[in-house]
Amino acid sequence: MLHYIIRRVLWMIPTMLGILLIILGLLHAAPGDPAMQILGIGGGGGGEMTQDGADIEARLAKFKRDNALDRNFLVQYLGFLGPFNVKPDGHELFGGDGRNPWGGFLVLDFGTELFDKNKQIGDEIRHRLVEVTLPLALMSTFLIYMIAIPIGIFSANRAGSRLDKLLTLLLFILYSVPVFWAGLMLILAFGKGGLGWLPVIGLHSRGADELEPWPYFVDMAQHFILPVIVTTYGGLAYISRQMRSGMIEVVHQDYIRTAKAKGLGSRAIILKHALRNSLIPVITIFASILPIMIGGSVVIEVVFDLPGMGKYMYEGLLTRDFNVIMATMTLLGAMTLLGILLSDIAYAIVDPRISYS
Amino acid sequence: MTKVMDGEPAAESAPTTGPRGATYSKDYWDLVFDQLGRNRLFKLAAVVLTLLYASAIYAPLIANDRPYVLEAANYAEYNKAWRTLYPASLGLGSVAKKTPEEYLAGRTEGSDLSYAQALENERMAVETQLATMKLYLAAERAAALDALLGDVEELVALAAGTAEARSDEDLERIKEQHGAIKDQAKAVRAEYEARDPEAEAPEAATEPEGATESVGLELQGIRSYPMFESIAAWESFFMLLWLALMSWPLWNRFWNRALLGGDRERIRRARRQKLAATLAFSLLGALLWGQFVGGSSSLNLAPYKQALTEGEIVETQALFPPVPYGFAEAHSTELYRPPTWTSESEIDEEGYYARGPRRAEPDAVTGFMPSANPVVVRFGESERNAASRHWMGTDSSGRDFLTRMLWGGRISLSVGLVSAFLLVIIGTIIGAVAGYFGGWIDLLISRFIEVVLCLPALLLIMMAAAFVDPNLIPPIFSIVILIALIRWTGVARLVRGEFLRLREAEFTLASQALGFSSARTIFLHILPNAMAPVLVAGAFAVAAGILTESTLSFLGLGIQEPMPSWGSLINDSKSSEHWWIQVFPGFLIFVTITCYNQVGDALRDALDPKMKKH
Repeated sequence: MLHYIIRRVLWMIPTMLGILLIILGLLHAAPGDPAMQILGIGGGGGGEMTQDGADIEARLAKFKRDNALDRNFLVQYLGFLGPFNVKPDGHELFGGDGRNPWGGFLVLDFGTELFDKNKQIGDEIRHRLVEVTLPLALMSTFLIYMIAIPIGIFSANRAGSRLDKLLTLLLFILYSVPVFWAGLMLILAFGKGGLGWLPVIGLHSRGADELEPWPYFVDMAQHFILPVIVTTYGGLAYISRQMRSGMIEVVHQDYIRTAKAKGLGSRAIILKHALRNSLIPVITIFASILPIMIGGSVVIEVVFDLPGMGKYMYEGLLTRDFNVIMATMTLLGAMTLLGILLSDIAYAIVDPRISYS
Repeated sequence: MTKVMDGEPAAESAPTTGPRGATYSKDYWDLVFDQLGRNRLFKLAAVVLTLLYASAIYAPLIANDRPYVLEAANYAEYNKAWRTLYPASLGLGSVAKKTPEEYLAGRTEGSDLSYAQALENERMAVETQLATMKLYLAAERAAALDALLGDVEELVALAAGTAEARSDEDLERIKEQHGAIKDQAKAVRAEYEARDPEAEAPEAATEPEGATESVGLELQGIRSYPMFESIAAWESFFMLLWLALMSWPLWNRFWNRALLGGDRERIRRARRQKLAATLAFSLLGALLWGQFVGGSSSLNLAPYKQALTEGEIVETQALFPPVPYGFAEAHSTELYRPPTWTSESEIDEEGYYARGPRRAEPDAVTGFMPSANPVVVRFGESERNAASRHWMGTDSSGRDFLTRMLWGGRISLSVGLVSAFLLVIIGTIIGAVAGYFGGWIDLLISRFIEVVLCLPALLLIMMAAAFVDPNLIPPIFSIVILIALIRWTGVARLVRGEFLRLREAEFTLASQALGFSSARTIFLHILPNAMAPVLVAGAFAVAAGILTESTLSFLGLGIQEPMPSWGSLINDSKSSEHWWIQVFPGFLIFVTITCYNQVGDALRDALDPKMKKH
């Protein structure tokens, strides 16, 4: 078992290197000079270049030099990976002046924002993850399981009935609702324009800082309701489908027939015998759901204007902030990798039929 | 679409055709289509998708600012020609009366025209005016103009013929001829004045012709087909193709019964012929269309529609599509106007909203009333407050939203389809190579797929899309390419799995033993047997593609103005005041995705041999 875990962890290293390679490679492969995109100059506007063309050229060159964008691909790759800093103030090995030799993801240094050198990306991400994105994802995951498992069991018990068909169809339709549209429709329905029941924008109401702890919490909880619903419904539909099919499969097993034959009540059969075994695949999805949710948080946080990590990445995309994008994407990749590892290990622990070799 | 292949109609007739029907056994595709035909939800989804695609393909016929048929007389153009005719005839005379030497001495500085050329120019000037006038005149009136033209040509011939050596007699004849022309031109000027279009326009329809005669001539309209002229050959290809597909149940039944006698074997063999016939029909039609009708409209719409509105051009017949707006046609006085069937959308004559949140009220303190722009109703459009004016409201530039949605469907739906097609091809090839050859190639590809799968595809596409220079590659292409480049991994894994299974199969071994090349074995023998799961994945990929494009465009990273796509339309306003902007396109996205998922689900059930219920 330990062997298996160690091997899996070791496999993560090349995979992580590959992830970084793909992100950076894609950014470089995109037609158009990233530096020009970042500075908002654009490749096509030749006519505007004439007047202060030299100025723009100089700005571009300085910008590229300062952010090591003029280095070749491998050096840039190393710069993001670490442990060396390859910028002008970086390690002497890469032509820097040695003031700031170490950097990169390996030493957990995500650098600073391109346009605000005082803002550490690492701090910003930690704040946003802990305060918005993770609570949102955890709450939704909890809700998904709380609702999806009973629905799945219920559906499987009545497989083929009209109610089951209706439920399946409803969940199927729910699964197809675009996330951003669901958010917008909820805002329309519950926001000021509609019923006016819930706040729809941001994390706190205006002036919430002066509230007592309890009202402050209630205010925040109210702001969280709609985003949690939107984060939940898709996964809910998916997991309950899994649960239903898993349950149906288990119910047809021999040992369930044995349990029936010896006269156990259907309740006992389901809860004691069938449920445990059908839960295995559903539970092991858990670890991989979390990164998916964090990845999907971009849209939700933009729609509801929540200051989370997804929003951070989106803002990075709008301002073409190379560093923010690299940091958030790499983190997401790492989280996904970790999630897959955890779910594989969980599977291996729970199901003794899985071999570790 | 549901009966796309020869499923049910012939199955019903099978018992009546006697012994042949009885010996018939169903092949794989018969079973698949039987299964699909029994799935009611699939049928519904297929019908909805067919209609959605129809609305996108036929968008130019449904929503367009060009009329189907327009019969109109351009009074401004006629009047200009009518006014210019007499001066032009004088100009001709002044050149004709001169000898070449006199002309060369007197010609304007910088002009390098020879005498013959100048003469020809003057003749052309007169002829152009006459031709323009003849366009709008009845045949019996044209006779006088023809006579004038004949005289003019005579004069030119005379002047040119005697240019080298001109006697006094010749000059006399020229003067005489020119005098006749001048008289005729004067007469035309007196008799051929058109009626004043602006003054008479409202009455023109009701007054009998005799009444208007006294004021001026009633011009004849010219008939044109501006919309059909604007439809390009490729558009007509898809229109014909879709027509053939939608009418499939009809002509398929005829083909099966009348031509094939209801014989299952022959029907089965005719599948490819039917497909080929459909394609050939559309292609041929499109070629003919491109050759003789479409894609050649030089009509400039903006001034033309304004001239019609202002009465410079007067129509005698105009037939507009149900939604008479262009997809980029802005109405600057109707920004963010709610759907016109709602009460909040009512606008009074001055341009103020009568009720609802936009109702204008004087400022509480100063009593200042915000200024308003009266609604401009252009030619062919519905009345100011008619429900049909803007069924689905307008956007930030006052463009009709229904029109935008119809045209946006073209982009949204095709992005989904094309990206799915591309990613299936990429995934199939890579998966086939990995599964067939195995070994280190397989290891490399599998590892790569694993790595790509670790990253959320949507974010990866977003990231790359943000850094593609839209000046180098239009966003619509870059999105399609990016989706295909990043999402092929799922299909590749599927195909790889199938190939791992099938490469040990007997038919593969047989193919290898016969010495066929790897490519032949892969593409002709294994692939057809591995396509079923790929088809299912393809259907889901279309849904995912549409969702990706709309999400991207919604976030402002996809399709850019003025191109409409359903996602970018929602991006137009996130304010809950403008609910129509968020509800309608989003609903279309949702319906499309649901339908494609349903189709994928049904296909999976139908294609899976284990699920066959017999």
